Formats: sequence, structure tokens, C-alpha cells
Amino acid sequence: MKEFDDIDQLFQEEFSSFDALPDSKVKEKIDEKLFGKSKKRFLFWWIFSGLFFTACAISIYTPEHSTQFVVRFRNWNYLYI
Amino acid sequence: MKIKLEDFIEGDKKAFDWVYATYAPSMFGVCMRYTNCRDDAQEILQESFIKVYENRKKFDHQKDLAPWIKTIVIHRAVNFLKSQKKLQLHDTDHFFEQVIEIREEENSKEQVQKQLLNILQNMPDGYRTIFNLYVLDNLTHQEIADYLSISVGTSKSQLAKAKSYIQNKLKNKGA
Repeated sequence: MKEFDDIDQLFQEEFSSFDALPDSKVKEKIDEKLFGKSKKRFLFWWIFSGLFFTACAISIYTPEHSTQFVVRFRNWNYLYI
Repeated sequence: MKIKLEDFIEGDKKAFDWVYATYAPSMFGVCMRYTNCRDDAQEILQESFIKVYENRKKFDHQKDLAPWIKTIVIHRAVNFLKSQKKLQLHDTDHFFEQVIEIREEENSKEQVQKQLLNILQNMPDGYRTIFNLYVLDNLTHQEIADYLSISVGTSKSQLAKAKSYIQNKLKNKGA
């Protein structure tokens, strides 16, 4: 290292522009505290749930696409509901 | 920039995202100077930006945003150290015996910064806080004394010890 006599000057020079990158989770936590949970995440689960239940309904109530298990499940439904 | 600052004061999230993206790296640098651990620095940064958003209406948009945010960050850092009971002022010199490894061949700006940060972070918290406040953040001894509820003499003596500590570390490494 070079010769450093003036500690004040040394630190002022070196830390005048000292940047460091925080983890991305810091911003996520700030957003969560200030703005609540992300709307995008809610939207994803709404779409996912909608598609999943639609696919289930189609597979259960469309006989030509039903597997043996689905047929049994459908019959069981008819018996008890 | 003016439009964005006004949007930020109004509470617009995108403007706040811009403020964070612009100022978080330099403010995290400040947090790193005041603590000896990255996790603590991140916690201070997080609390500081929450305060920044909550107090945005108090900001005078004719002035520069950076010093205002920096004041909040320093305040949070000192309060954090106080709350963790880390801000103890030491009179002994036994810390001088510890050795920090600094390699002479690494002398690029980034490496020197890293080595000095290492020295700063290994200092006792009291030395580090007063050194930061006085040397790097330009507070007077009277302001530091009022801020930390100590005497002006204590502030001066802690600063002198902090400088001796640093000098000692630099000498140990043949600086």
C-alpha cells in the first residue's frame, strides 16, 4: 500500500464514492412493508387456480377423455351428491 | 428528475423504485461503514428506506435528495447500534493487538477500499461510529456529543483512539 500519513484524507478520498449492492430481498421486504404483497403474485395464483379447476372439470365431465380413475370418481360423485 | 421527485413525494411506487435504484448503492455503502456485518447493514438500509418513504412529505423538493436520505441512514445506523447495545465507548487499548490481514500487492482502488473497510469494520463500535461521524460525515465534536449523549472530551478522545487504531493497523501491514 502507498504511504498514508493523513488518515482523515485517506478515508475521505477512498470513501467519497463508496457504493455497495444490497441483496434484492431488501427491496422486496421494503415493498412488502410499504405496499403489501405483490399484486402480480396474486394474479398468477388466480390465473393458475382458474385454469387448474377448469381442466379438472373438463376431464371429469367429458366421458371420451376420462381415465378409469376419473370415471370412478364421477360415478362416486353421482352416487353421493 | 423534478417530475419524478414530485411523484415520489405524492407516494408513487414507480418513483420510489427509481429513488431506491438511484440511492440504495451509495446508502448501503454508508450502512457498511457503520456496522461490522452485512446483515446488519441491510437491516439498517431497509428501515431507512421505509422511513424515507414514510417521511417523504417532509422533504423540501427544492433541495438535493441524497443528503436528506443520508441523514436518515446515519440516524438509523446510530439508533440501531444503540438498540443493539453495541455503542460502547472503550478506554482500553487491547484492540490494538488484533491483526487484520492486508496484502501489500493488492493496491487497486477497490482493493484499498476493501482493506480500509475491513479495518473500519473490525474497530470497536464506539471508535467506528465517532470516526464515521467526524471524519466521513463531517459532524463537529459538539454535534456528536449532543447526538450520542456524551461529552465533547469523550468524543475527542475516542476519535484520537480510533485514529491510533487505524495507524497501528496500517503500520502492522507495512503501509
